[in-house]
Amino acid sequence: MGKSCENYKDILIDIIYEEKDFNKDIKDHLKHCDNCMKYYKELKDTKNRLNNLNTEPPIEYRKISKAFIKADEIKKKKSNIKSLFVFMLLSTIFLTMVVTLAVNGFSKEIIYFQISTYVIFPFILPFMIKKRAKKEGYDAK
Amino acid sequence: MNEEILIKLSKRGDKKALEKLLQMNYSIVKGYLIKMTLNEEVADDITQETMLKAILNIKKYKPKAKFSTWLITIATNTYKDQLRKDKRLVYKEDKDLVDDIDVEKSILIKSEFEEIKEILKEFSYEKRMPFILKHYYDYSYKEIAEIMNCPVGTVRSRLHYCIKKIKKHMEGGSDIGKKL
Ligand SMILES: [Zn+2]
Repeated sequence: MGKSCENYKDILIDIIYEEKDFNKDIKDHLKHCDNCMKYYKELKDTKNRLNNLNTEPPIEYRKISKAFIKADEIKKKKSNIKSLFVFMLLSTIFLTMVVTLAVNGFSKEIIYFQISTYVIFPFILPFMIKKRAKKEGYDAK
Repeated sequence: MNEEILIKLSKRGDKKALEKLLQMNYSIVKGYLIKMTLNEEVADDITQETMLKAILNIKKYKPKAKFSTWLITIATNTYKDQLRKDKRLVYKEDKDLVDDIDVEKSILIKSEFEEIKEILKEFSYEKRMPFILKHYYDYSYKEIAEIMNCPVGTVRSRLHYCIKKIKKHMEGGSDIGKKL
């Protein structure tokens, strides 16, 4: 059994939107069926008239820049939360180690270690700041 | 500079490249959202949100799909999310949209534009979406199905539904026409 006109009408919609080929089957049908031929013409007309809605809005450069600023804020917030979490984790581990060592009689070593840290720290500070600046994109280049 | 290079640079963290890329695709996204939401103010908000999400997630973008398609997918999902949250999006008359057309265009076209807008408003966003993506952006059924995350058959039947309704309306004597 052949296709009904309703089937052909559906195929015609696919054809005007280039989802199906205009094949011999449909061509033959249109030759013999005025109803579908009329439908096809109307479809094309409808499609053309719909293009009146096709406006192209202008590019809003400042809005795009604003999106970047907002993205930076969100990223910063996220990285701050992450840093805080890492800091808390590391300090807990460190404290546990110190306490464990102290309990096991390594108090002297802990004091030596602390003294040496205080001496070294001022020297490594500039490197840490530089690294941080680079990570956040403030390095002059 | 071509899009491919800009995408590569953007994925590596080049902000200037990404900014250029977003500028190149801005009108497509905004135009799509104006047609989808039929409300300039809402379209504005969602465009902004889409840009922000694109910046935050650029590393997740796979160049398998066109950049504009990726943005339209983000815009679509954002719109869907907002619809769920915000009832304001379900049709508020908006006069600003009319100002967007060329002033030189005739009153005749303007009224036809209004007419099309009115017809589109009658459709739910799920039905309007395939129609807009197909008619104005020339996406294939398959691509639309991917953007909307639904079967190809659904896309086709929704598009057909819209076209038939619009066609009927344009020829006058439609049920929509009487309601307006
Ligand atoms: Zn027929």
